[in-house]
Amino acid sequence: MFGQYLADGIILGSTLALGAIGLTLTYNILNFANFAHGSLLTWGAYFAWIIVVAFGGVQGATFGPLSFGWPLVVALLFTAVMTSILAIIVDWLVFRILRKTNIQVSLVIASFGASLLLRNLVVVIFGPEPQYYSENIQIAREIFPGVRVTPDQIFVVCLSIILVILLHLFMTRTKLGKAMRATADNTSLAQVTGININNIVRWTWIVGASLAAVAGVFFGLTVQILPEMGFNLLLFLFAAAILGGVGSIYGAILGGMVIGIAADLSVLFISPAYKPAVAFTLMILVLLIRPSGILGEKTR
Amino acid sequence: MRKTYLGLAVSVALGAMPLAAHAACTSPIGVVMPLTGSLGVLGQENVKTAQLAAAQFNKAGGINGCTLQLKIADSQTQPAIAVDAAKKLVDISHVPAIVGALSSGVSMAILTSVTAPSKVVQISPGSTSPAFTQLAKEGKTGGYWFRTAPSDALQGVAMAYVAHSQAKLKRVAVIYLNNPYGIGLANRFKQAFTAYGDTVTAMVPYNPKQPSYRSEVTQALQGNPQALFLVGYPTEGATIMREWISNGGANTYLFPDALNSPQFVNNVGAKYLDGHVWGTVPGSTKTKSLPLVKAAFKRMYGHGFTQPYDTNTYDAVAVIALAMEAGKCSTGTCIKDHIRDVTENPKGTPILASIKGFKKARMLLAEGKPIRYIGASGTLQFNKYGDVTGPEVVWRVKKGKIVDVETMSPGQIAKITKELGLK
Repeated sequence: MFGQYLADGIILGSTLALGAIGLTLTYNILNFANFAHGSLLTWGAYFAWIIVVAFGGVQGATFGPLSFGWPLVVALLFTAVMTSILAIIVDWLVFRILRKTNIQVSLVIASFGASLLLRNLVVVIFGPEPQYYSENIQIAREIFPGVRVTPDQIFVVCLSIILVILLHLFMTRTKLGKAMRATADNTSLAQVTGININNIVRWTWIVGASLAAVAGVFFGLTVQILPEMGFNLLLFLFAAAILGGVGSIYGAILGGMVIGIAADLSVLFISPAYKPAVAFTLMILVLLIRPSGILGEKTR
Repeated sequence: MRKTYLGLAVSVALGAMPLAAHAACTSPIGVVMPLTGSLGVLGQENVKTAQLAAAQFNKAGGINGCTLQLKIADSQTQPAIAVDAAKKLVDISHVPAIVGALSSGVSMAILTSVTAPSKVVQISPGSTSPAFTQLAKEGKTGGYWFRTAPSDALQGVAMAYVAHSQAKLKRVAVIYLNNPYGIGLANRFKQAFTAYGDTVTAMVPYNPKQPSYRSEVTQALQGNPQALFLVGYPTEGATIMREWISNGGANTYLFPDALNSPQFVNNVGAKYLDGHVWGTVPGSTKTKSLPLVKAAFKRMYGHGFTQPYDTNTYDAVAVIALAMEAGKCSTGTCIKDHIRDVTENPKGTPILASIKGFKKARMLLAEGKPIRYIGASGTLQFNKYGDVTGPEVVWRVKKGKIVDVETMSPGQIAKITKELGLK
């Protein structure tokens, strides 16, 4: 049974990791805890759902054992673009103005308000009912003795790994990625060396929102699409980001995995009734030992 | 109401002539029901029946000469939000009674922290946990708690009977929601099912709003159960069911009242459920009021009842309104003391649920004559703990539709309970 719980944890962990990266990026570069991030995830899932439903006529054409075909691939690209646009609009309408005041708390509270607004907009437009990308339920197959997963779940984990590698290359090999890291380290110094901060802010939103959108689609693919999904995930995303060390991308990935796996493995030892507490107990323990998080920098 | 008196007092104090009493006034009743969240699909429909009852009362002349006004608040199926909403209704809108909530967990929170301490009547149309009976026995409800749906002490036994005698099951896994509803029904089922000599292979609690339920399902699959009894709410229930099917769980499913919803069947996928489901749900006794309410509902909304507890919600509003009329009530304590007068006075003239019926009730009450309201969900005889008894309906899923196959009367369930040696 250990293997099965581990597999369950890794699948959840991949979704959490992608979501937590966006959260940690905005914290690092824009300097505030963005509560609206969960809603970006929700919108990402719904944008993709629109495309999948629009292409609903070509059902049946799926990739091998996967539950979806070309429509979902198109949907992934579409949702990344649309969610990025949404994030930039919200930034322009709300955060851009508040950033000038330089009071962090107002940004955090405003993001909470934006989150409520975005979530309720989903309810108004798409209704409160849960939705699915495919009506069919995939039957899990045994990949190792005692470990059963569905092809979609393998797809989710593989694509997460690929995206994380791409993100790593982007941050270390491209000029833009380096500029983002420079801005995160010291905004004033970055500005002095000629980096266009507004451009960096825009790209931070694009990268963060795209990853959130993909995480939303993954969640929809492996669980369900629901107006509250992003909000429900938000606490876990924060736990993952804080556990890994706020500001560290690799920390967010590690945090997401640790939270996902720990929650599912805990079922071996304690009643599932206490499952939600596991992630947070773990977070508190790590912070007591290493206040900056596992991979967080010691001083900032 | 308090504001009106204050206004009156001020005008008297100023030496002005008091205004005539026929000025338009409203009599508010609070409704705290889930319009969103895990039970949103049920609550949205249920509230429509509350609005129907209020509309009919107003057409029949209102309460104590005032317009009955429903103050509807969304509980979001969350205790904290519902308590907040109920507090607002009691403190700001000064409602003497609240209809709601649906979820036992939510109703319990409202009851213990708002209605019982503030002496406000609370009637839930669908909270079935046996925990409320216990609370009332301990005297902690102050008599302000009523419900128009029977306790799960009945449903748990009915489900065990269905599982044992009709589905012929010997080994069942239970996944239940970690709140008073889930715990109450799951434990009652376990008691009764093991009393038959059968085995519950796993009792797995789950929490709402979790990102995934894979590990809960994995745990329930151990011990090779022949069936799954899922005591949960539709939204997370659909996720859990899809995980169960995906992971190759046995394809016989036992569903309680909360999952008796067409949306839930659609969300899981009708083709996976057809012929595999045995369900129970508290039913309505076929009273003379039922067809009247059904027809009125259809006239107002264009479709029939679709969810459990539609009639129970209607009755909750009707009972409060009649009690207010009978006692000329504006306080919770007065309503509490008059509820049984309008529902179980054997000498009372039977009152049916319709505009005509309510008109008749007002007339009789004005003359000081007793009435007896016949509910749309049953005859509504509240015992001293605020409980009613009622039948349990056995349902199945056939061709994607929920079909009632059998009704178990309260007497039949009581007999089974006794045979199994349960209380």
